[in-house]
Amino acid sequence: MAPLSTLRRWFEHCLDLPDGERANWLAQHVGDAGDRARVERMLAAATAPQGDSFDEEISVRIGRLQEGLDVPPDRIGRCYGAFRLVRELGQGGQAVVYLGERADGAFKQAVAVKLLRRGLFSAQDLRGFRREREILARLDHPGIARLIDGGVGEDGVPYLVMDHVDGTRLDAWLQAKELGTSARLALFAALCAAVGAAHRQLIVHRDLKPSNVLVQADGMLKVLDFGIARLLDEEDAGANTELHMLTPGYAAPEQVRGEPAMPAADVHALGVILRQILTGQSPPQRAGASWPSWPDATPRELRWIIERATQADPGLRYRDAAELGEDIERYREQRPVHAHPPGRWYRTRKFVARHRGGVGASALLLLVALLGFGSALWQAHVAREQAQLARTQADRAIAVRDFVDRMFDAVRDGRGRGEEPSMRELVASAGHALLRAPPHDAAMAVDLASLFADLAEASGDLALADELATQATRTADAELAPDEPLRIGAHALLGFVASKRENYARAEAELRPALAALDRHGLRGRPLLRALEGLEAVETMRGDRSADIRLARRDIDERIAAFGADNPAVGTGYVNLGSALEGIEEYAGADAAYTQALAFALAHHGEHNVATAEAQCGLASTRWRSGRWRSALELFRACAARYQALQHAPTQSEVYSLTKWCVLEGWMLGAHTDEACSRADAASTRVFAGDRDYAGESLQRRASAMIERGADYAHAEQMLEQARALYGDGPLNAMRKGRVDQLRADLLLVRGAFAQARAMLPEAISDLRERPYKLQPLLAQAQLLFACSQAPGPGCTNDLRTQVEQAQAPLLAWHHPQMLQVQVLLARVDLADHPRAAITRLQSAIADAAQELPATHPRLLEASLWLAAAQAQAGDCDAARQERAGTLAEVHAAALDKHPLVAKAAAAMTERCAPVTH
Amino acid sequence: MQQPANPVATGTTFDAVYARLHQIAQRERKRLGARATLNTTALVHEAYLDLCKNTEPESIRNFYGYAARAMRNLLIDAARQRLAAKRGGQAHHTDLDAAARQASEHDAVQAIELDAALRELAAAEPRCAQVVELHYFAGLALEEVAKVLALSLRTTNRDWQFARAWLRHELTP
Repeated sequence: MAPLSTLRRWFEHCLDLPDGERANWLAQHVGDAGDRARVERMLAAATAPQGDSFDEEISVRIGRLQEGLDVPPDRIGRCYGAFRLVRELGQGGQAVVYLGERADGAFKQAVAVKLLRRGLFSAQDLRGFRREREILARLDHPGIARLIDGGVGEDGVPYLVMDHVDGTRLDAWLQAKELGTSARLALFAALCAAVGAAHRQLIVHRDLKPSNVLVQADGMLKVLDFGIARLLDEEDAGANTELHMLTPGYAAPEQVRGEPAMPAADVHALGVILRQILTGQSPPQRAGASWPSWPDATPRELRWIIERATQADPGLRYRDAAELGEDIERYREQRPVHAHPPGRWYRTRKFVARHRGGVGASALLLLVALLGFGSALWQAHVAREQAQLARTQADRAIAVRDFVDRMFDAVRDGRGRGEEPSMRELVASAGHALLRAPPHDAAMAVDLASLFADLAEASGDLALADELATQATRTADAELAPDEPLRIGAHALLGFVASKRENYARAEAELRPALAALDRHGLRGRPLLRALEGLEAVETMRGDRSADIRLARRDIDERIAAFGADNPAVGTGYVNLGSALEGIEEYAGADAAYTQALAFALAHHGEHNVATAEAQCGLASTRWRSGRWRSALELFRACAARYQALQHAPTQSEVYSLTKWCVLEGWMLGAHTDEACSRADAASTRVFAGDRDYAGESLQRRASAMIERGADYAHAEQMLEQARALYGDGPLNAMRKGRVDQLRADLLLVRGAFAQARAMLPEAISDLRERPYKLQPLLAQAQLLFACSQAPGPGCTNDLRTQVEQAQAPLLAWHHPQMLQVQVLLARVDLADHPRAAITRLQSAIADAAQELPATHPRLLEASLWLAAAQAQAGDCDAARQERAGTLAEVHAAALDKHPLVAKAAAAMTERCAPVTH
Repeated sequence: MQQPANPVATGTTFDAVYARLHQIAQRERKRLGARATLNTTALVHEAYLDLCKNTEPESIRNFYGYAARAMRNLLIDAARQRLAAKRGGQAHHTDLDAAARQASEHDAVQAIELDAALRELAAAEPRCAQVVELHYFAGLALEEVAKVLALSLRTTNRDWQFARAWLRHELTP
């Protein structure tokens, strides 16, 4: 099942769609049938009228439960283990506590018997309970109430037996006695000693608070419930988010996050208790709330000690209670303490020190912090005239900074042990933190979610980028005014991310109004660039040449305006222009734009940079499409090597480049080389994990290479059928389906199933026309024409020939190697009646293709054999024999005798020039 | 160093809310009889009057959070006790008892299912689970839930809509 947050995204997206479009959208976007069904059921539930039978059913369930709230059985006098209950001492959320005594009266021993409210429902529960109990039983220290026994009573209720401590809660005791600082510190040192003894045995209390520390009449201190929190806690899947076991104010941040508690968690609680003991302040109850300011009288060193003990990052606290106790002792003896004044630069230094060598990641951390800081400061600058507002903004700047700092806590904790987090991991960690707990300030929430959506997109994590951008717009729509720049920017970003996810309809719906609003308010910079870039992609998709180019040129202008003409960001503008021009098959222009982008990237970023790799791959792609295959192959190899040297998680554009490279290798060499295609598969699995469309593409690529190679055609046909079944709806998939059908038609034509191919091709042609590329529809048209020539039937119109001739006219100038396939088909149509025309056609196509294809490429050999056949048909027997003999020798040498395309062409020599000997 | 008059002030804790709610529930149970349905909203309200008079808005928010969680624990614990008692298997029962017991066990299992579904929800969408808890268990209207969680009503509604649909999907066989 997809994660719940993903289900939610789908669910909410569908809710906004009209009823009729939901099923369609789900079919297109949700690959897994189970998930689809889930979302559909949830939608049905959501659209049912409020207060329907389900809500009643829940109320009834809850109502019935109350019947179980019977007056509890009178347990006084009952026995648990060797102990009899004497009277109730108190009730807590997790347990009822009774005073107990030994049932056998062997000796007098007052104990506290804790009856747990939770049941132990499985053998595993029980084993865990016993193991913990045994560990705790070993804990023997005068400052700790001992665990004497524990088990499950006859009534199935788990119980624990502990020393009964007759004492007063630490807080109440301090309140009653008016002790000076030094007496308070002595008491605290004793507490540290007791807890430290447990830490030495690696036992963590987990729930230290004043009510768990009793002071006896003799002034000795006892800590209660050591490690009990763990026994009480339910370690099921949801336990991580179950906060009820934690005491707000005392629990350490890592406990709140559900991470396993280490001694440092107790150190945190001890720090809070110390502050309470010294200042009388209560800890803040809410996460993120802060303490009141320090009373002036609190000595500086004690503040440092407390601040160190309560650091959010457990790695920066005292290691355990003993270390904290030692610093307290040093203070009491008036020696310098080990604690430093805490500060963000201290912490940052620590972090950088721990990640030394990982300059990239640390630099990213700072970059992120500065970006957040910078954008908020910029806002502060804008609001300079309004002093009040400026103050708010400056507060926000600090809050943003702190928030960004906090977001990396998880990374610090987890990676502090020498592993270097990747940029993608850092961004993901921060992004998920934002999704989990967005800042309370709406503007800040929008700003940060947008920033990290942008970074997530840059790191190739499109799903996360989408979630963050969606959250940003949702918060912005709910909380910010419509013309608030942050709100407009959030929509621009969401549209941009949608365009990257190939959801062009959504991209357009977000971007058109966003661009209009940006222009209306004269807003420039990043959001404008995102809006332009996203719309360019939309226009490319749509094939609107003029709009696309206009946008791309404006994109470059905006970049120059925003960053200056000599800024690397302008290079990205040229990449965008290149891709816009490539998208409309304006290959000369695209070539120039990419070349410019590559020059920019090399000048500003050097060899080893994503921008350089992207520009180079873009150039490769343009050359590939325009038929300059040899050059494209070299460029693909080079830019793929650059990507590989960068060693980071693959980005979307990297995946595209790798797949194009793989397709090209498949075509050119007739072999499915391992490197290009296996890297393409691996990268697309990482970037588009579980995406059926990409699974289909991978199959299609392999089948296409098999066709060129002449391998097992039956198997290739099966693979193509499988691929087709994987594709969803939408224009991109229409194009993919069209291409699959065209490849299937290729196979059908080889095995003579002309009628079948003829029936399939008209739809393939219209599918292929969904994209602006002209060559593929032409190829399919030529296939149809050929199928019609072999087996006339419905769909074979008279003007088919004219259409093909018209469509191919502008393409002939490209000298594209794939035109060879078109020309072979047309030549075979003409073979019987117009052999001369066929000869001219083939000669010029072979000459073009030979520029780009290896000399023994099966398509070249096939074309040459058809040429021989046409020559024979025209009566040029000498030329025919020569052509045929020479080609067949090459066929033998290349071991291509069995290649179906070649074999078919070889068998086609007409009888007019037979017999042929060689 | 200057000593404040009250060195350790204690806020409303979860344990205190739980204990008070439990007391009130038991008292009502005695008063109304074993099979009557209690009004959870009224219970929570009474506990509120006991514990939170004259407190700051922040503690009031905490209170409702605790109360909803306490009510949920109270009820789920009761269900578990029932199942545990079944496991104990003491005493002899008449057939009539057996039927009633079966029904009661069925309810208990359903309650634990609801609890489990809420946990799963809380793991991925903690805020949604809080909304459900406050609405179903503390009996707060969605407007009040929004106030307690300091969310806009729109956000609360959205959370509620999703949570409800998901629970329904999970709990409907």
